[in-house]
Amino acid sequence: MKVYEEIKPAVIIYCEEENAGNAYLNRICEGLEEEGVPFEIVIKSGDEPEFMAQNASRESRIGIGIYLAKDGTCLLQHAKMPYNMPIMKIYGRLATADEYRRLGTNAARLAKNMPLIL
Amino acid sequence: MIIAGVDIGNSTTEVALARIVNNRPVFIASGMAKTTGIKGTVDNVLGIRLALENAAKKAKIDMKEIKLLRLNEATPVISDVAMEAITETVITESTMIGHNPSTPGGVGLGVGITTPIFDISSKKPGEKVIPVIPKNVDFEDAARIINDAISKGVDVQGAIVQKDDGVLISNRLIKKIPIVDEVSLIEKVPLNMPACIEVAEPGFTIKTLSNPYGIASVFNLTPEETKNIVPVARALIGNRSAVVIKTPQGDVKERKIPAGKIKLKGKNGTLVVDLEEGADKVMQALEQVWPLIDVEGTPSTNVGGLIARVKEVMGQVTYQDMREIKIQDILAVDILVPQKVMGGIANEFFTEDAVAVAAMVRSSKLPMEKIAEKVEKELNIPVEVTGIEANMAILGALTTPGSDVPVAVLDLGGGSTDAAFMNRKREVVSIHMAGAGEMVNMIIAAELGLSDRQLAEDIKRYPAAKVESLFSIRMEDGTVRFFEKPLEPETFARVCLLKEGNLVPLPPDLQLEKVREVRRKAKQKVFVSNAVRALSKVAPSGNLRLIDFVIMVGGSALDFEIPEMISEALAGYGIVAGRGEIRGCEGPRNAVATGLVLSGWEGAI
Repeated sequence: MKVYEEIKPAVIIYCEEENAGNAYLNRICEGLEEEGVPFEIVIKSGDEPEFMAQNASRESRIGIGIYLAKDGTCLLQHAKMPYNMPIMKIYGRLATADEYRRLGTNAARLAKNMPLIL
Repeated sequence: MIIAGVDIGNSTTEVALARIVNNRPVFIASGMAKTTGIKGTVDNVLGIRLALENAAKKAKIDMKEIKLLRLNEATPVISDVAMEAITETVITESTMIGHNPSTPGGVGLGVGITTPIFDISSKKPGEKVIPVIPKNVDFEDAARIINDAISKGVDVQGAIVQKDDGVLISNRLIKKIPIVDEVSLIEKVPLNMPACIEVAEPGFTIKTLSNPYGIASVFNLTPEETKNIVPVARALIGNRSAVVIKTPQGDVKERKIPAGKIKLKGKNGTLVVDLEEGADKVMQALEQVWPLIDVEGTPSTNVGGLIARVKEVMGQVTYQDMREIKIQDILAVDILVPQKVMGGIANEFFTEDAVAVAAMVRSSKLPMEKIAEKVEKELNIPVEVTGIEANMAILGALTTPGSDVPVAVLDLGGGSTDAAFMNRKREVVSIHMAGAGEMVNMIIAAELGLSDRQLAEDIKRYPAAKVESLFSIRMEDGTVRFFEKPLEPETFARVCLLKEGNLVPLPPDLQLEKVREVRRKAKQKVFVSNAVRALSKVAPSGNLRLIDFVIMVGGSALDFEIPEMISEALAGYGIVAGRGEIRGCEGPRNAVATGLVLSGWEGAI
């Protein structure tokens, strides 16, 4: 267990194993990188996407988490938000690659206190 | 017996209902509806009916119980507003990219030849190049190509990118170069031309490209060419990133649109003012020739078109020939409007000078008898047309607790600002001034670059706040309000209006300070200057200091800051000014309608 101060301030991305390194994840990371906000990818599986996103946000020192499920469903969540009210949600198979990048951008903008692109 | 006073205003129709007890009116309710059609036309009847129904419902009486309707002699004053830019910036042959992407890449200054990204690998070592990267090139590929070129010895000085990839490319390069991204019309960037690219450190603004000598030293310009580059440098001041490309014929021009001259014909002579001299000069000239007989603009110039348009609208409304319309008052205000640059590459906006003008026309007597006839027929209530609007307004305003004659009433409406003064002998003088709420809306919309008039109206009426976190907002005055429920993500980090308990987000590029400043300035320029102008016209011997009390009535007196602004300005003249409290309960509304009821029974005037 790391001391709290040692945890880097970063957006935490929970990602199901099958998705590691795939195009969607890359797009999310690009969005974050372009805005200059650090992030960490953690491989993790779970039942309900809403809970996973909330857990990711609670693990993040800046309270921002993303969950990417294997079917492409993706949620952006803030630790202070109720679990059933994600900041942004993408439904798998219906989304374009640009939407994943926008989710990454918005995660970063949430951290930087900038208006989101919706 | 129940009687009703009905006041048809430019934007609202107001009703006061009173029961006559012991030959004295006792007010039982008031009603309000939007004025239907243009004030003073038979179209108003529907609005009158709606307002009456509204009042009757509040008083819990039947419409049939109303035995008399007192209608005011509406002042035949109609006003209109218009705006014209007097400068514009034109980029001939795209030479400059002066936009501010939120995340440019790298930092520094680079000078080189603009080259398509795929051609840079064929350049010789030592050649200075600036690759141009269109959106179909992935950032990974772009970075790889640039890295290859750099390792071959090609001197890559910077990059121009179409997508929002500046930081991504920059992070993957072996050498730090300035990168400007989000250049939407990248196909317009001239290729194989010398260019200079500059990106400042976060929090700083560019230094070289915003300085004419800086550009001159980069491109080795002659003194003559340096003169021509001044508008470019000026346009780039305050940016964090910019690109300037030198093309043989390229040019950025600030063009003065021939705004034209305005001719003010007054009873004390005629003066001609060039609009380029600004709104203040126009207003000064107006004071000199006051009272005004008519206004003309130089034909086929902007101001000529503006005046003609106002007259044309007035002519249509009052069914008169446009040539017979005489302008009785104008209010000119200098404004700054963001205008899209012609020939720009990245949707650049420049701030241009413009003049907003409100004009007011006194038409021939409005057909009130016709309205009265129609109301009698449709509602079956006898109608009396009585009283001058200004006198009725004073009579109504005097029901404000703590007020007495001599008194001045300022009616802050939508179309015009009216003033009336009543001396101890109960004699009344009144005046109408062009410019009021609608002009404020127009200035707000123009200066903030909004096309939505309703949004401008909301900005005028509601204070703004910035959403600082998911649970808190910071108001204009710096106080923070906390919410128990999380706010909508759409409002996050944006400037919002506090509209009736809701947060209405404004366009994301608007800053809180800017919104507040534009709003307050517009109100100052229109209402405060008009209040002083109007009151000095009705004051005894034109001296504002001889007025003791000013009561503000009308829709715009409901505004959350206009009455305070006027009070503050008038305090300097030793005047007690405040928002009216008609009958002690109506606020600044319903003054004329109340006056109409009272005048029939007190015989005051």
